[in-house]
Amino acid sequence: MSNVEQVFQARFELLLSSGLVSQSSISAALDTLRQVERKTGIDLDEGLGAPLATHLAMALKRLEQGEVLQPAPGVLWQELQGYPAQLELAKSLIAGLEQRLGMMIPPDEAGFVALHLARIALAVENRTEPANPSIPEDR
Amino acid sequence: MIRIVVSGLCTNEICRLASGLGGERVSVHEAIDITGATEVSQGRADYYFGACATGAGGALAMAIAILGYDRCFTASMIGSVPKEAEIQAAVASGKLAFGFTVDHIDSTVPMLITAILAHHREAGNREQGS
Repeated sequence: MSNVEQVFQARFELLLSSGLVSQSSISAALDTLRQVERKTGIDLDEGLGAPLATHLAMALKRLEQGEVLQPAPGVLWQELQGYPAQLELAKSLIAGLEQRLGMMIPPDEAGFVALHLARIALAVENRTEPANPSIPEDR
Repeated sequence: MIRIVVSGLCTNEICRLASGLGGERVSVHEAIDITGATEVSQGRADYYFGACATGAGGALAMAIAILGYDRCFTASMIGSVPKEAEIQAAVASGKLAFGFTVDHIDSTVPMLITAILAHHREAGNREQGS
């Protein structure tokens, strides 16, 4: 069992038992999380990776079911201009998922994934509680 | 003392806001979502607040998994602002976990704290009257 499988095992089992994710969405999410670790050099633990892990598995389950995902607010793209590396990585992850799943994924999904990647990068940089880059903690 | 556990994104901001609004009547702390939802299910916390940014349900996912859908309420989503009357009704009906998007923290948290305090005040009055 890889690191991400161990780290998120309890989370995914709970989500699976409640029907919020599927085995295939978990598998695709785990593969994506492994790529994030490999491409960023960051070991994802619960604190760092839980929001991204949950988001990916749930969003992929919704796509499997043919649901339309929520569009990203305009402010998200403005904020992500400060995180070009995370946006590029997110786009490549989404492209990989499209290939794996054989389906189109709405472009906004790359923005959501990039937001999580930016949050992870910020948290590692600051070594503090993960923050949301689009909503500064000290507004 | 009403115990609130906060999970998800921007927990510092939500804790600060909820503590400031609730004063001595509330105790607010943060926890990872699995821990937070478990605390509510075991009676070690009274309410769960969860924030996410993406609209895919991450704010309430673990609360739904642990507490069940009928105990959870989505207070706001992307493109859907929180409505005070709906939040009041959700609290009054016994919902324990509330999810919202981070861009609605400033509006949702005050509505939630106000509704929770009013609900407990009314419950206290009923107990005194009986």
